[in-house]
Amino acid sequence: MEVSVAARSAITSGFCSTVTALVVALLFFPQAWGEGEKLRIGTTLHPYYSFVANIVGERAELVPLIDADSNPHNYTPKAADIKRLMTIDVLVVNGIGHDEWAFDILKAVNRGDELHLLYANDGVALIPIAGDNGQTKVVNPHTFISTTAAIQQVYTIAKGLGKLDPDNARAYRDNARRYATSLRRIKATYMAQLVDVDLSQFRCATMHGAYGYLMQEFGLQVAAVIEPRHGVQPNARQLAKTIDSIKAANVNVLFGEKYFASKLSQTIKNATGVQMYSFSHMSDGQYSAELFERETRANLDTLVAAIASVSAVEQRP
Amino acid sequence: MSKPLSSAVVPASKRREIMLLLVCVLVLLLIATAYLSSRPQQREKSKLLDWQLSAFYDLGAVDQAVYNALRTSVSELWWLHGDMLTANKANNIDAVSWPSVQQLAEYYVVPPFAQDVSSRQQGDIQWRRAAAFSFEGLAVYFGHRGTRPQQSAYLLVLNHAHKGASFSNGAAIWLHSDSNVVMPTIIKQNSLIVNGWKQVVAYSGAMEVKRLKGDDNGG
Repeated sequence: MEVSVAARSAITSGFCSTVTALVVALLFFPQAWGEGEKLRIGTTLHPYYSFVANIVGERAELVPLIDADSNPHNYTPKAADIKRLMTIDVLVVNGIGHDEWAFDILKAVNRGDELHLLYANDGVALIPIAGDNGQTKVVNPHTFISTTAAIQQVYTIAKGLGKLDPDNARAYRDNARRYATSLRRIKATYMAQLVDVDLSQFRCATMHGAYGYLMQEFGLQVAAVIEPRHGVQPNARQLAKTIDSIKAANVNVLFGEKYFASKLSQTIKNATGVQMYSFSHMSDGQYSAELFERETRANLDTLVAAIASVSAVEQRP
Repeated sequence: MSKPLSSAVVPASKRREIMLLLVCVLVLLLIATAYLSSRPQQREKSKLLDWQLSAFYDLGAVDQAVYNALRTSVSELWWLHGDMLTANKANNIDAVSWPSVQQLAEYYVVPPFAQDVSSRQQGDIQWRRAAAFSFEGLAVYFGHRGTRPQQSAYLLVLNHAHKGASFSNGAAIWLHSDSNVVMPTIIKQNSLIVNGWKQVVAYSGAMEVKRLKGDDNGG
């Protein structure tokens, strides 16, 4: 009986504090963005935080919608997210399948027209998830793991924010262009390292279907993706089929996930003899303006190392 | 010691309850079936004209990569055009106000013009700024002689939506199935179509949002 009372008390207390917080938020932030005040911009995924931080600098405030250590693949909204949502003027979203939980939070808090949604991918030309073997083409929502598609999103965000905040539109545009140049120069540095490398023998598969845009800008292709659907582990039959595909395509490198490691990768390595490397999904660590550039460098380091290893193996007598 | 009595009591409404339960299950199944069959399972191929191609469905990997790079370069090209136009006016210079291919490749490192591993993988396309008229707001970047199998030739046409418009203008990207095709002399829609060029239409994020969220939220 004591447990029951305690549990009921905790539930009541939690509910009351959430409701109180919501009421307080509604009272004090009915329209946070007033004359002369800074725009408060919410972001869903880590890269969007970096993009917006580099576009706005000190001219606006950033509010990550969810905690930094959350996995965006299986995220369940919390009361704290609702509180954060109540304080922002605009929310920058991926919108094409990688932050659907944000729309659940939006449904829970009906802010109508006073919250602006900025779809970062509006202008991006999407590509299918690689390695679908000619089956139904499925949109790859990982446009934030590349530089070319990232730059397109940076431009879209800068233009969108400029419309909402015309006084700072020019600064947003100039910052976006500077940031884009910086991203292009990062990529160019790694391109230069590959200038004399023969890429013809490089054939890769990935655990997660996230790296099609990244590979595309290096003129490379993904031969197979292990996950049958986004964030879903393959069953035994699907895994066996994928292993056959990897063997048939002479895949020599498998890219796993740096932050979402899977035991399956070792199984596949043992079955096929591929070399294993890990990419960053860019959705881990503290939110920061530098995260996207840092993780891009890490991914390109990994890609260059993987290509070099294949090239070295091929050159052996 | 008396023997315990037991008897099964059948509710008067037993038959009606079973029937009601069955009807409920049937209704739920019908609703679920109707919902699943009406839900779009995949993006519809946009209603394209016969002189258009879908970047998502119709292009090979190389053409798709070149197209995406060209599409991303459009904003930067318009902004550079604005910068150059302003500088030329300020200095009273009558010069082309669009960046050259060399500037794009070497200074701005803008793909697909940049000469690097990616351009090598994309068949070492030969790019040229084929036409540029300072004040009509038209520029054309033409790429051909790519060496990859089934590779196309490319035409990026930048044009003002209307005269006097700001620099947030549009662009069209055209492909020709013959990678060695020569530069078209007339850059007009009808002429390009007659000469075998096809306009590429992206499957954009805005279209995917529309599919996922419905018309109200589509960007």
